[in-house]
Amino acid sequence: MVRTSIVCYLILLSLLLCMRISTGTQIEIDLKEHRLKNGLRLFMHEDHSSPIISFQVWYHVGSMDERPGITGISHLFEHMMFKGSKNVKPEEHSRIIQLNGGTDNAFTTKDFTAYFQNLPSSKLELAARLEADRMEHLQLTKETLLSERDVVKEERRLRVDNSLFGKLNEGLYDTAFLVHPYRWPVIGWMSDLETISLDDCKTFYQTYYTPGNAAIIIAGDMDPGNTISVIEKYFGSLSTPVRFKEVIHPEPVQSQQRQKEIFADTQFPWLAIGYHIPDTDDDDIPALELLGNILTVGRSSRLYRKLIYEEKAALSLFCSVDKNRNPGLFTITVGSIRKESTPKFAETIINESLEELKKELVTEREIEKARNKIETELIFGLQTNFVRGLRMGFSMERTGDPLWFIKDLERYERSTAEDIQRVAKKYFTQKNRTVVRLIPKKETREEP
Amino acid sequence: MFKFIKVFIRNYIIAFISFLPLLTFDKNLLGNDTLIPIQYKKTIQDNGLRVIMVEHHEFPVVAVELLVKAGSVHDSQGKEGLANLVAQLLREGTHAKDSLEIAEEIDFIGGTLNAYGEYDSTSITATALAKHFPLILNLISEVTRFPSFQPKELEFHRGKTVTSILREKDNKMSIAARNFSEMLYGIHPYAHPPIGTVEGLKSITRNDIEEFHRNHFLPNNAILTIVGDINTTEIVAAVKETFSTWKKENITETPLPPIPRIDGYTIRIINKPDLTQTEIHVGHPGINRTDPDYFSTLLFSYILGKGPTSRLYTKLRAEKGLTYSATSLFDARNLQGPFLIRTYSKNESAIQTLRLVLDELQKITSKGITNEELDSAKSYYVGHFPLSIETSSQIASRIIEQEFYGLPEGYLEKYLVNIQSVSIEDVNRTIKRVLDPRNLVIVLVSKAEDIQADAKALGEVEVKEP
Repeated sequence: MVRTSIVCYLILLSLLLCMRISTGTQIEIDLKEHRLKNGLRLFMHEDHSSPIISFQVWYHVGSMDERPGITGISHLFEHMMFKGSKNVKPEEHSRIIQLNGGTDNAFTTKDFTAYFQNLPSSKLELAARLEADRMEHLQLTKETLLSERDVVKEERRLRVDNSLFGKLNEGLYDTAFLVHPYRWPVIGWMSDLETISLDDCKTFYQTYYTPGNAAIIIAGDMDPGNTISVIEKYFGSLSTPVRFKEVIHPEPVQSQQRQKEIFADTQFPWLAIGYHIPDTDDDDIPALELLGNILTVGRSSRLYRKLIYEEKAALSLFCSVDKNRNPGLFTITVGSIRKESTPKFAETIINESLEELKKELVTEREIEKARNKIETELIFGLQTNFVRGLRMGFSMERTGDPLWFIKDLERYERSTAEDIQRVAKKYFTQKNRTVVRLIPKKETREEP
Repeated sequence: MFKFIKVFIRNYIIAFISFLPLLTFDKNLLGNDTLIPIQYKKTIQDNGLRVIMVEHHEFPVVAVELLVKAGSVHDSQGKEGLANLVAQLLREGTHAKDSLEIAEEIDFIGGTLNAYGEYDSTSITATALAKHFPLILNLISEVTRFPSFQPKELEFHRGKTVTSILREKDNKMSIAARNFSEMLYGIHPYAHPPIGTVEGLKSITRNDIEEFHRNHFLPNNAILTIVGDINTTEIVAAVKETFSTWKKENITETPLPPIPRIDGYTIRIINKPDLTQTEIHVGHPGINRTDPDYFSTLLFSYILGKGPTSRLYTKLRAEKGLTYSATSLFDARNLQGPFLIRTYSKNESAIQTLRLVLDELQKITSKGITNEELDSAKSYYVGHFPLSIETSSQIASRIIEQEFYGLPEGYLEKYLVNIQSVSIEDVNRTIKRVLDPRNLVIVLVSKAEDIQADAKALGEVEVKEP
């Protein structure tokens, strides 16, 4: 009777997205969705060009779901998911995947946590069995928590405490946000990592690691009908308790410029300038992305030309536009400001460039160049099943629509020079700005 | 005139099934009709330029790489960083275009154009949508053959590169890497990374740059690969037209000093007092890329320190929680590249972690590996193979590797059988030949006072400032 149950659930939604984009390229993405009774969503993207699949499980929980006291638990928990479940010994998950010719890993962000295995397509059922086992029957013990806590503390020492960019980034979010959980880093505060308890982990697991709070994305060489029956077989019997209520802590509007100086063991200062912007599906985001691209991407970009090439003020420069579940930041980061220059000078150059955007329209050629860069980068990224799955997952977690990233292309098309000018005026105001500088410790010592 | 080599992955995997008794291969893993056949075509132009073309039609993209067989190993003494500086300057102006015009041209089509010097070679790479192929092919030809090396651009890159080297001192991993190479290679040019040294960069003249370019950037010293959504017969003409005026010249071989031997433990602590976590690098010269035991080495190195099932990971991270990562690798180059184990731990447990690394190294050398470990390592490489040739660039890099190192023809086709035919005796014999746990370079970047006393128990310790 399994067959019947499959038929009645077969493919709730089948999407074929075709789009001709400005570079003249045709993009086609085919995606099928099936929803299990327990709320688990399954997305299937078929591609038979290689005998491999990317099997990904996405949980809708990240550091934004934490609170002070247990910051970092989402990420620590990601580590615990490799420490054994009812039928799988600690560390065995990866061992089994590798033994079967695959690779696996996981990552945690502010908004979600994802687990993946890229493996031969014949091993679909193996991946399903292993993932279902740890979704339902994870073994959480004091011993594994103790050792994994130490591992995560080493990871924090590596990525934050002994990393210039880590320090700068932690300082930026900690200053720009006062209330919203985006103010702490995904890895969490060291003091919280010390005290997260086994009970905290158990509660966290019961609350968030349920079929109703998860989605499976499978991209690659598979047959949707067979895949649905495999997923139903392993995940169909899992239950979802009453769904938790998501608590949102909106960030109050920033009313004046904020600044922070961080003293670090570096010879060269760093600078980050951040502005609050809306969340992913807001209509202003594409214009902000084009703008960031015009300023910083490629050697012909405005700020590379000015800051790095003409003024020789720094070694590196990049812009990030957060596309998060909740409103994030537009950030310009300047790395390793050279001896001949100062953070103040770099800041002045950046401010001048932003002011220029408010006064004068960018050229059509600059917009077209930015679109071409964004689109080409997207197309290159779509070459592997793994990245295709990731793009879909990111979109789904942040907007609810796994194909949002493709639809974004249309929004870049529609964005005009006037839009770019409008968003520049709207967001790049002094009161919306946070400036964080990483300053060499030695300089302060030399002062009287 | 050309040589045709057709590689149908489906066919060759199936052909070798009989060699794979240990594996549970089935139809899906081996591929069926859905697998795209990969075809590459190789030609040698009259001027000696080797050209490899791979058709890969899944996406409308193309990747071009021109590899020149000259890298930092060819930097003359006192001019460390020369090869990489030459590479950096290629994009900054030619006889026809200035730096901004080149940047604007490639940025506008959303493409990429990069040039970088490695130890043994220099690569100029470009990617773009396939319809822009003529543009990037011309651009690669132009920047490679006709750079103008303007003094202004030279000073810009000299300054930027010097700052990059000085900046390494802010990063414990870069500090360790540079010290490790210096200690491993002494006067051999592998002692400095391609980016060079501050002193070397300061003494490089425009004349040195032009001379390096003239001596090494020759068609008979280069390999051109083009991979992507292209039709090989159509591009053969384009390649010929673009590169046929490039003149062949004699190539002068650079004599190199021998790679020194390590004697006992050579331990160095680099004192960086702000650190709470110690960077640990341990190793010795490894193997060259054409070593007959390359596959045995690949397999035992996996068992020792690659991925989350390795001995180092299991001992240091999974069992003891001492680190976030512990890896080992052989960087096989033209000559013996380094064998390196890299890990890190908080200062309090750094020497304990180092001792465990040394134990694991001793253990694998004296006792070898087990059959079970070998089977697992083979399964990983065999199963992982399709994943490693998914994109055009991945396929290209494997073919370039084969061509550049002069690996036997059909190397790629025989990759799986080479993995499978390694016996446990081969591996254990190779371990004894290749690993040398008594003669090691050990680099620790840390707050010296936290670890110095414990480190001294292992042998004589040199303490240095970054």
